[in-house]
Amino acid sequence: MTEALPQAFAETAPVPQHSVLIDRVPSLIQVKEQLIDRYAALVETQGWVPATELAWWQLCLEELLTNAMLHGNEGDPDLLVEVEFGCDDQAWTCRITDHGEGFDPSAQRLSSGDDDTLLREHGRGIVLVREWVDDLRYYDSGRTAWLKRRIQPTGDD
Amino acid sequence: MAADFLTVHTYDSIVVAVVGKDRLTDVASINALDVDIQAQLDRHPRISLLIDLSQVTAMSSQMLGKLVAYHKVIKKGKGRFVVAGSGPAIAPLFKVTKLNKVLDLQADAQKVIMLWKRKPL
Repeated sequence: MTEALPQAFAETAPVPQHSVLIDRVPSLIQVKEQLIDRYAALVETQGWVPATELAWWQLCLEELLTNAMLHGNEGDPDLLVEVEFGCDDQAWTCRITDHGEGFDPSAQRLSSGDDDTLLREHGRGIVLVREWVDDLRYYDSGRTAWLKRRIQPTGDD
Repeated sequence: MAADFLTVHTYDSIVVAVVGKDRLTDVASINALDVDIQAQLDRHPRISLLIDLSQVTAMSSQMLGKLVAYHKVIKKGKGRFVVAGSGPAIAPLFKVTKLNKVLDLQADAQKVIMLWKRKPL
């Protein structure tokens, strides 16, 4: 019997039905805020996220971009981070890929709840992202983060 | 680099740090704040530190990690550490990460300061 590979070691993230934006950016943490503002404008235009949830959306992007730029690419501006937003009729997706050595996302869980685990100084970013998105998966040994969330009514209709 | 958005009031070993910024998400701001708080921790080995987050509406996991680091250092030095004023925008972050179980989160900074003044370490 062949066992399925753990997600983090599968090669590629799902391809979106409609690719809306592909961006390749240097690992410069100081431009992260500008990037998020640009992506926020896209998300607003597409009507994917209601205004009441934009803060969570921003937080998720902050966390994943920081991980890719600082931990994945170790802040090397010559190493690019690739960001792709896509959608289908019901959900939008975001893929963020770095060129680092990868990591094991299962090691980032805080589920045990004991004080030693809770008092770790790192590893909360993924916990925060998982709280808001419908699905967060890692591919290519942890170099690619892929998240999915169903499109929420904006209340503008 | 000092954080120009941080106002620090000191009464003996009671230190109140008020964050005057809505977003604590960028690395530079968090590192600048950390420099200032670390200086206070070095100056007061048995500190009563209150960080007032009432103006903060967004915070990253990196900042949560800093709060955890302060908690550990202050606990080791038998001091007191309170995070005050976390509003509806950032309170869920403490709950989701279960830090509400380990950090002392208080709504009212003034109440804590009054209590500390009445009961110095």
